Amino acid sequence: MSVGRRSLVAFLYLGPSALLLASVFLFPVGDLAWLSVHDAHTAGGVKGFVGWAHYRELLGPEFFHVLRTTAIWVSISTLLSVAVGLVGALLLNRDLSCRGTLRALAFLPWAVPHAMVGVLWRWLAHPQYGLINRTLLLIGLVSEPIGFLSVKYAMATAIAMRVWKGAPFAILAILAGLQAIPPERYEAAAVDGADSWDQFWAITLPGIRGVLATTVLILAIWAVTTFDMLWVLTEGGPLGATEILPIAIYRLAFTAYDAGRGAAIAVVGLGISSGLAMLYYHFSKERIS
Amino acid sequence: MGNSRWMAAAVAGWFLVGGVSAFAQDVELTICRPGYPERAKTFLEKALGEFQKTNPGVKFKIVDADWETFQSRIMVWVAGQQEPDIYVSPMQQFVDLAELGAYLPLDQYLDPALKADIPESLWWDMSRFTGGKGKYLSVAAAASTYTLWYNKKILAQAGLTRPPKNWDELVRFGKQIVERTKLPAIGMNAGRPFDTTQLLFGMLYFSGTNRPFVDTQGRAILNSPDAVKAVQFWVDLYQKHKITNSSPEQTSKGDLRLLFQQGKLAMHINNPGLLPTLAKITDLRSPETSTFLIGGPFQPSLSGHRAMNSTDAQQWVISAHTKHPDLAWKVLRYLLEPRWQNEHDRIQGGAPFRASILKSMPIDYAWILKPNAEEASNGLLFSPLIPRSGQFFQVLNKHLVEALLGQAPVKDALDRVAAEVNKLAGL
Repeated sequence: MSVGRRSLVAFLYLGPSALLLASVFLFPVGDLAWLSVHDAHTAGGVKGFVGWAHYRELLGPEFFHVLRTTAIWVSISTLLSVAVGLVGALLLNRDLSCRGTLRALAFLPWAVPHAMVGVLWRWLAHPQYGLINRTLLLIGLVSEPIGFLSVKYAMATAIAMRVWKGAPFAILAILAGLQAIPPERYEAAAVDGADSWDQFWAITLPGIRGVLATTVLILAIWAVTTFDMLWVLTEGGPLGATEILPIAIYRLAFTAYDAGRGAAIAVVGLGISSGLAMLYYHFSKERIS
Repeated sequence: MGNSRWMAAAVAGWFLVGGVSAFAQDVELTICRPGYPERAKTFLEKALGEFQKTNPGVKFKIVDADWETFQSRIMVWVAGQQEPDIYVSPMQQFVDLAELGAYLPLDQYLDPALKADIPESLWWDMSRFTGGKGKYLSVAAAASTYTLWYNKKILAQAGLTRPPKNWDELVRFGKQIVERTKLPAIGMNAGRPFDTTQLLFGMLYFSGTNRPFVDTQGRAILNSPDAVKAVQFWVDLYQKHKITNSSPEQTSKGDLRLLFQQGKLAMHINNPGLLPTLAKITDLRSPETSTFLIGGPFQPSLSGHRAMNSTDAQQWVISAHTKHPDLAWKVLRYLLEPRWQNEHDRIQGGAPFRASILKSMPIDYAWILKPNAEEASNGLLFSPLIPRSGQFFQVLNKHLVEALLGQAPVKDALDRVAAEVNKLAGL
C-alpha cells in the first residue's frame, strides 16, 4: 500500500472521531468567540454586533483585580499542593507497615466532590460555628474567633482548601514517579557515601523532574478552571477577595445576564488555559521522547 | 372464527385501546413554590390532591427547590422554555423575566373578588416592561413585613423588660446586653448580596428614610441625606457601638437565624418566616409561653417621622410557554382560594394579607401575625421592581460592605452605588 493510500485510510478511520471532537470543542469555542463580540442577554438572545467593545471594557481596574486574584490563586495553591504532595509522596514511599492505610487516607480528600469540599471548608472556617475557631478558642491560642472568610484571610483559606483537595493528586503522581526510579541508584549512592539529603538532590529530584513539571501544569490548569468549590465557599467575596476568572464569568453571564461580556472574559480564560495546556503538551512530549 | 380472525380482532382491539388512550391522555402541569422545599411540597401535594378529585385527568409534577437553586436555574429554564407552568417568581429576576416575556398576562383572568381581596400595593402594573402587552403578570403569593424578634430571657438577664423602641434605645439597650450577657445584642449580616439589605439594614434604611432605594423611573435615591444617616447608624452599630455579632461580612441570614434560635443572639430582625424554625424549640402559642417575642419597627430619633417598614412580597406567575394556559389559571385560582391561601401562609410562616382571611378565618400565632399584617400598610417594597435587580443588590452590597469595614466613608459608598445603579439603568 502506498504512503498516500495509507494516509487516506488513516484519515478515514480517524475522521468520524475527529469530526465529533471538533464539533464538541470547535463549535462551542466558536460560539463563545462570536458571543464575545455581540451584545447578548443570557436568556434573551443577541441584540447586535459590538466589535471589540467588551474586550476594551476589560482594560480596567476591576478586570485586572480579577486577573491578579486568579494569578495568586493559581500560583500559590498549585505550588503548595505540589510541595505537600512531594513531602507526602516521599513519606508514603517508605517501607512502613501501615503504608496501605496511610495511602488510602491520603487520597480521601480527592474523592470528595468539589461542591462538598466548599461546604465542608465553609463550615470549618465559620466565625461562629467553625471547628477551627472552636478548637483554637478551646486550647486558648486565640481569644477572639479569627475571620477566616474575611477580606484579609479569605484567599488564604481558599488556598488551604485547594491544597487539601489537590495534594492527594500530587502525591499519587509523584509517588508513581518515585517508584519508577531504580533502587540500585540509591544503593550505589549509599556505597559512595551520599547521605539522604545528597540522594534527594542528586537522584530523587532529577528522577521526578518531569513528573513534577506535568503535575504543576495539570494542577495549574485545574486551578484556573475552578468554580464550584470556590463559589460555595465565598461566592468570590468578600469584596472580590476571591473572585477569580470563572467566578467573574459566572457573575456576568448568570447574575447580570450579560452573556457578551461574560464570553469576552471566558475567551481570555480560554487563552490562559490553552497556554498552560500547550506547556503541558510540550513537557509530555519531552518526557516521552 | 379461525385463528387468523381472532388475531386480527386482537390487533384491532389493541389499536383501538391505544388510540382512545392517546385521546384521553392526562394533562401534566409542572408547579414550583420555591423557598422551603419540604413545607411547600407538603402544601402543594395536599391542595393539588384535592383539586384532582374534581379534575381527574390533570396530573402535577411538583418541583421543589430552595430560593438559591431556583434563582440560579430559572433564567436557563426560561431560555429553554422548560420552566414550570406555575411558579412563584424570584424577586431579583422578576422584572428581567417580565421583559423577556416569560409570564402569561393575567388581565383576562382576574376576577373582581380576587382583586378586592388583595391589597392594592400588591397588584403590580408591569405594562412598562411588557411593551403594553399585559398589565398584571402575577398574583400575590405571600407578603410580610420585617419585625424585631427578641429573646426575653437574654433581655431579662441584661435587666431589660422590653425591647428598644427607637434608635437611641437600640444603642443603649444593646450596650447593656453586651456588657451584662457577653452576647451580641442584634444580628447583622452582610455575607451575601441580597441578604445583606433584607434584615437589619432594611429596617433601619426604610424607617430612617421612608423612601425606597430607587424612584419610579429606576433612578437611585439611596444617597439622600436621610439615607446617609441611616446607613451610618447601621455601620456604627458594628464599628462604634460594637453591639452586633462579629464578622458580619462573613455572616449570612441563615447564620443569624441559627444564632438566634440557639439563644446566642438577643435580637434579630426577620419576617414571620422565622416562625416555623422557632416553633420547634419554644411554645409560640402565646407571649407568656414563648421565649421569643416581637417588637415594632424602630422609630428613628433622627428624622422625627413615623417609621415605615420594609415589606417582602412574592408573586405567583404562569409561564408564557405553558401549553395549557386556561388550565394553569384554573389551578392557580384554586390555590388562591382563601382556605388554601391560609394553609399556605400557615405552612410558610407568612403573615396573612388577604382581607377575607384577616376578617373571618382563624389565624395561628395571631399575636405575632396580626400586628405584622397591620404593619403591611406601612410597608415599602424591599426589592425594587427594576431590571437586573440582582446586579443592583450586588453593587449595593459591595459598597455597603466597604463602608461597614471602614474602607470607604458612607456618603462616598452610597454615591458610588447611585452612580453605578443609574448607569446600569441607562439613566
